[in-house]
Amino acid sequence: MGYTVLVVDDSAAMRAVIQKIVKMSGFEVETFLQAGNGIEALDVLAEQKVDLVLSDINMPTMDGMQLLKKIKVDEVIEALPVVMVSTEGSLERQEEAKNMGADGYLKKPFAPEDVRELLEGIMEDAS
Amino acid sequence: MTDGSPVQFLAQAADEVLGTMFFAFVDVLSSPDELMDGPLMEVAFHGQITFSGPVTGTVDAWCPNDPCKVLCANFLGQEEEEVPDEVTIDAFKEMTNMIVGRFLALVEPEKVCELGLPAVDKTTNIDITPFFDDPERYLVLDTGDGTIAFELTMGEA
Repeated sequence: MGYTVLVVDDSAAMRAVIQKIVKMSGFEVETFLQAGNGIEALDVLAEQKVDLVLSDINMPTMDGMQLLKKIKVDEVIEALPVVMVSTEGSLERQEEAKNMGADGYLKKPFAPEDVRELLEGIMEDAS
Repeated sequence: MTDGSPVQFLAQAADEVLGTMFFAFVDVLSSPDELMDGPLMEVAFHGQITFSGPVTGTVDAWCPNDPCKVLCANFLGQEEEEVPDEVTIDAFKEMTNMIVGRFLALVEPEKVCELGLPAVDKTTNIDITPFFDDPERYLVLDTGDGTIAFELTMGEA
């Protein structure tokens, strides 16, 4: 058994690559779901049970920080772990995400070895 | 802002991103004589992204059709013949986005710089010979399969 992971990124190529790298990392995933922005992600979360969200920050329509805020104020899904996956690597941005409730921060570019320990730790904390 | 040459930070960012996610190991070129396919990019993908905040500016990137397809195929784990133009454009946008994001983290590690959304189009007949005359503004890299060239325009904060 693995986790259901929602990958949120406006780039279809990046969603495919994130899935590939997470699989290569050995982190156990049963199902990947996808969304192209925060609005689409909230639609998916309203309909399906998700164990973990990996979300880009810089997206049109609803960005990753807005999505994070929506999740963390929704009492039904507030405990859902959210990892921000972003090119934005400044300490200020990472602190901002953490203060808004992000459970982890993955800076692009990243390799499989950066992923497994981070995600397993987050899922362990969440359980 | 970190001390140092912005173009050198851009070179470091490109090296890290291309090496980690595109499986391309790059060399910085200093003369048009080193270009394996010559200085004229007959058909090239062109990416552009702006940034603002403590540092502001624009990065443009050009990569000829064939090496760009190789890089994007590497990124996606596909064969280059399987990568259509629209997917190459999407992957090249991500490449530009990641390189500039990493560049900003090197130049300004503490503060948030806002990245614009990257735009990519196809262009023709770009002669990069003049790029070698201004190493504080331009960066030309050999990816092993071809060339990728950058122009960095820094503005006032």
